[in-house]
Amino acid sequence: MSAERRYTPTHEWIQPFGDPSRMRVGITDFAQKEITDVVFVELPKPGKQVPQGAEAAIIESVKAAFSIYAPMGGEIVAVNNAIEGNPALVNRDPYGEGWLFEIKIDSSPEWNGLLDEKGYEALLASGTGGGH
Amino acid sequence: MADFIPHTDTETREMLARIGVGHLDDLLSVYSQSISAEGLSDLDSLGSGCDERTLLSWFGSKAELNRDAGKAVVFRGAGAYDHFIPAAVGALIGRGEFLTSYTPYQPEASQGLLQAIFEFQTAISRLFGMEISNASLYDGATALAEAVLVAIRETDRRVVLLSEGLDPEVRSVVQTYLEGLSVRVDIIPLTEGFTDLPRLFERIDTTVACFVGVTPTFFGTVDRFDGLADKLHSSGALLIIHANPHSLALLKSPGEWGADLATGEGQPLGLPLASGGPYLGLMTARKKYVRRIPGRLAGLTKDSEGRSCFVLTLQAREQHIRREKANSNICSNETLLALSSLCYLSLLGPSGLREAAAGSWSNAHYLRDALISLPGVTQLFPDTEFFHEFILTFPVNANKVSEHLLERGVLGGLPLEALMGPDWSRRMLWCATECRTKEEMDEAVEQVRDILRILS
Repeated sequence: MSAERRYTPTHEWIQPFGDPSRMRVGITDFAQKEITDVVFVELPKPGKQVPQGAEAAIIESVKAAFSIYAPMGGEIVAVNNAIEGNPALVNRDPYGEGWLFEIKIDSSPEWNGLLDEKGYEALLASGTGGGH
Repeated sequence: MADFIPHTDTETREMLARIGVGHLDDLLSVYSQSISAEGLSDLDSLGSGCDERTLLSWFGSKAELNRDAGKAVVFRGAGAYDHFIPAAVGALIGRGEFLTSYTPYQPEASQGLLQAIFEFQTAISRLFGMEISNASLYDGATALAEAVLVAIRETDRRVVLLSEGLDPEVRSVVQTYLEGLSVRVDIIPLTEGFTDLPRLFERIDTTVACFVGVTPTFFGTVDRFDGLADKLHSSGALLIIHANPHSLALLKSPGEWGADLATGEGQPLGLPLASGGPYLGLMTARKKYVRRIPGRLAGLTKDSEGRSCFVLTLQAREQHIRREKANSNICSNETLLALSSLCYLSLLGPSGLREAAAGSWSNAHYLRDALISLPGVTQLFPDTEFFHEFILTFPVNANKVSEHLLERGVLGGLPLEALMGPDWSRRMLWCATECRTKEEMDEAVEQVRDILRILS
């Protein structure tokens, strides 16, 4: 498993953080632009089990709410508390300080079903993303 | 647009088939059995049509069969209270801008209405001693049910402890809301009208989502919750207090007890007695739960030119945005009634509200003293502080006492057998608000004395 970042058709990104079974998750730059100004993020409780594709967090803009799905199944082991006080981090630095949560994954084969950078760019170019 | 059509004929058929019902009307058969046109047998006399004068006269004669609260001396509360409402309340809320407006769906265009809601929220949160209030819900019972749902969502736990002091009808609404959620509801008994705190403390563990305390209780007693909030919080559970808002002019507020959420029925604040409503649900909370509570919230902000203005805020919680993942299916409120309450509170002011509440307290105590001086009449929980309601045990059947009083133009206390069971057949829940005069109370006591003599 490489340290590259992978993507979902619903515009989450995921990448190994520290050890290979621990994954950090956020939303893509495309997603943060679509959502516009993030005003609140409802994060999962650490310890919660989430199967792949289950809703793990909710991002609110002023007049809309977006479900954020777990790109891979596992246990939530950390959340980014910094964005509770400063949700704009999700807009400003979606791949960095604006990360959402970390998962200790159950099954590494799920990784192979995710989009790589090229695949995600092709998805955006075709305009057929799953949308939020 | 297809997404916005709730169900097609095909879907309706599928749903009926799934639950084994042949026709939609079959779902209503329970009503057609319990509602009859008895007393309206002359309905046919209206024939295939009549003139307006005949129609008004016919309906007028039916309305005459009702005896509304204005035609009796009221000593009944049990959830709806006969407080004085200044005529200015009706005059103010009767203005067309308020009377005919629905909850604002293009909210920021209705600055006046948003300001009224914002001020209502301010008044209610201050009265409850809580940080925030929403724009109101439909009634006190559903407000409490929603608060319990907040606690369940917040804690992700499935045990709810309800005080026995909760109005049995409110309790049944809460239980209806919890049906299907696999929630266990335990009733925490009162001892002498008080929550037995040491026993409650033993029941609190990490499975408990919340405890619902009530003050004044359905039995009129003023409950207290010393140390309870800390105890609940140390187990990760929430304290909800369901309070009569009128009593809060005198009593310790839910905020002072450390409540996380506090609810109440707003009727005592400037709404007339009405059979079944519409009433007003009060919902307040600590600020940390602002995204958890249901309903509308008006907020104060600045526009692009720096001027103060009002908005409906935090709407992402609501059903019209979050659909099935919303906090609640309630995304409307009782604006006109909230406005009535706001006008009532503004006209009375803090000192006027205290005066009205103190008048109720003092009248109820005067009435209690007079009634228990009658032979064979005793008070349940005689040593427990009460607000403006108290329970008396009579030497005869309480339903009979009530019937005789009504014949004499007095709506006496509520006979409790129907709500509480046969052990309560001689008990009545009496109430006196600030509206009762000494003469009315003395007269009612003499009527009771006479009725007891007849019935014994």
